[in-house]
Amino acid sequence: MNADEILKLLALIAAAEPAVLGYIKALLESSQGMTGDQFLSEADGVWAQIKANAQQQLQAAPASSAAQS
Amino acid sequence: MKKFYYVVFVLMVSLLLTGFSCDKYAKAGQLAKDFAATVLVAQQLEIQAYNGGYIQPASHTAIQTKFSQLADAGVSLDQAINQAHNAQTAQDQINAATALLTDLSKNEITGIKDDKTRLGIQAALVSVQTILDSIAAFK
Repeated sequence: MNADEILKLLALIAAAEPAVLGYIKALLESSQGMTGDQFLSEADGVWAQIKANAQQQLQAAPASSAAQS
Repeated sequence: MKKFYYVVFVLMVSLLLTGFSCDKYAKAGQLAKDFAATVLVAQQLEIQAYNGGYIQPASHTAIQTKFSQLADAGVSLDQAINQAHNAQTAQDQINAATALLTDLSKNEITGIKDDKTRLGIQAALVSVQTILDSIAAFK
């Protein structure tokens, strides 16, 4: 990422919608008081979702693109 | 495309929110969860961009293959943290995930021809790498 791209990104961040702040607040609150086991359990759930998404995308991909990769 | 930047903004602020736990195991677990969640966002960005016609099928297949491998590396990292109740013995898993992220950023993502799409996904991957670096530093 070059300097122009970073400046462009910062300008967009400065103009971000207030709704984004609400999401961040919810994110913070949802993590309060959780144990290491709970965090890791959630992480494993997310990894399972990522794996399932990838499998779904790879199965749906055209055969020609799979051959190229 | 503006949505890309909103997501990137959320990712960056999320990085600032990590580290609120005092317990070392909880802190490592929280970072691991943030790592997984950020990878999921990056994957969703890529899928949306592919569905929108911004990414070629060959690149999409290669990128999703890497995300699948990253998911396996993530599970291994979680197991290592769980076994030691901290991130001290997870260096091998961190290295494996870092190698996959580097490959994604330097090889697979460069195949995306649309500049804004490539920039958006690349920024998300930078956030992922930053969280991974935090796990590596938290030992």
